[in-house]
Amino acid sequence: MSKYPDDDRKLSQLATDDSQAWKELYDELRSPFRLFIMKYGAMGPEAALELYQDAMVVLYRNIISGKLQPPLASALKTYLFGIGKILLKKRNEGTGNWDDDIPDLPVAPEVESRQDEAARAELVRQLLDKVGESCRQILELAYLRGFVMEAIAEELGLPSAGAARKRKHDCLKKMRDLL
Amino acid sequence: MPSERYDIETIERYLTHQMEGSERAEFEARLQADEGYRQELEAYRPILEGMQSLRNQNFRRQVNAWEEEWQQPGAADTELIEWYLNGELTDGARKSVEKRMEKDEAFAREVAAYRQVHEGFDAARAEAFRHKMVGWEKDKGQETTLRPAHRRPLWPRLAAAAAILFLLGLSFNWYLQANFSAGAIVETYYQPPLDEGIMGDKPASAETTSQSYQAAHRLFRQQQYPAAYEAFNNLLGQLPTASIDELSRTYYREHSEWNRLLAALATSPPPIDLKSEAQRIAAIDGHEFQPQAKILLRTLQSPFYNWAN
Repeated sequence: MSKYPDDDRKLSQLATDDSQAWKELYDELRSPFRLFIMKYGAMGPEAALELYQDAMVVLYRNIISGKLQPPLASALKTYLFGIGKILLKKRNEGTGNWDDDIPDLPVAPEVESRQDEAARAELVRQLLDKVGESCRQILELAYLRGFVMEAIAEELGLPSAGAARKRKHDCLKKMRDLL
Repeated sequence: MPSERYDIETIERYLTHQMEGSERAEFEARLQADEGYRQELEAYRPILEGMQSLRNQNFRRQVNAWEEEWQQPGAADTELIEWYLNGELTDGARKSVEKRMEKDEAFAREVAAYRQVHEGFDAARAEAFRHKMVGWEKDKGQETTLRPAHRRPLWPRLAAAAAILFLLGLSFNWYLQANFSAGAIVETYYQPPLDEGIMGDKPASAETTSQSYQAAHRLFRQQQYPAAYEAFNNLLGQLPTASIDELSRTYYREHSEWNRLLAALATSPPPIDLKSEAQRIAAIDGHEFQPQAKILLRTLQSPFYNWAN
């Protein structure tokens, strides 16, 4: 029996990369998160906002990659606050007097710096420019837009999901060979 | 090619965290035993992690777009001021708000305005509570009729409570009308035309523009707001082709846009979308009325504006 059925439903929707659902979550948690971080992180409003966006990206990555799945062990809000807490700890910031309601997360999120993220993204951007249009198209659908193989096959007019999967792996190998 | 010996799909599943439990353990054991497989996996790692990073960056761009909606003029300040007034900030954050108030006069004015609003809310809550108390007193009064004890009559207290309620309601309404009614806003923000002498000697060709401008202001001052709106609107239509220097054109345009907005505000129903127009002016860097437009926009977005109008 799920402890957070509403949040589990929300999580399933977020996992489909539904932009509207993400925007609603962003708007819903923006104020409480900032206030929380200003309180426990001893941060100014602008720095708290920046941290909120970083935490949101970590949450996005964990949900899209399937690392965070229903049933949730804590509410989504608590999970996001926990990410904020970890981000602050990693940066050696914050008051250290955290509210007991915000436990350490059962699964600590991987936290990546913006610089690392930018460098990794740049490498792939360059490779995508070199693999040719048809490969670029299928790789973008698969990895950047989260399309499932059936949808890719339909989008690109391929005979089956299996054909799409094979094309995707051929393109991935092409990228690997470019490296 | 060594890469052809290995299954890309398995590598992908491992690197994208789709593999769990015993399957993952078995795969890792295989990696331990096979140097070539390990190398192959490491070759795919930057690609698949880079894809995720690129996706994160796309998401970050979306986040920035959502944030822009929050960053409408003054919106961020409103939230901060609310926290400050509600006593929700820590000492450090509270002190930084107070320091900003010392340095930033406009921000200090904002805080003062919201403090008034805040106190208005408190008064309204107190009023509602008093109302409840009157109800409880009434109930008690009914109970006392069952008892033969001598009590002072309740009506003077009820009358006093009613009078207080009435006065509080009156004060709150007065506060709303004095600060948030369209008339009060127009009075606060109206910018009369500069003395003709300040604009310098005008060539005859500029006389028509100046006369139209003065005429529009006359209508405004006579509180003929729909006509003033039309007059400023017409003038704005003529300005692009008017034979005047660029400095004067900018002056007339910015003043006419601002006064047209105020005239629209005082017209019922307003002939234009007030918030959009205030937002447009607030977004024009260098517009003479940009700061006023930002403040006006916040006022228009306030629930008090709706209540007062």
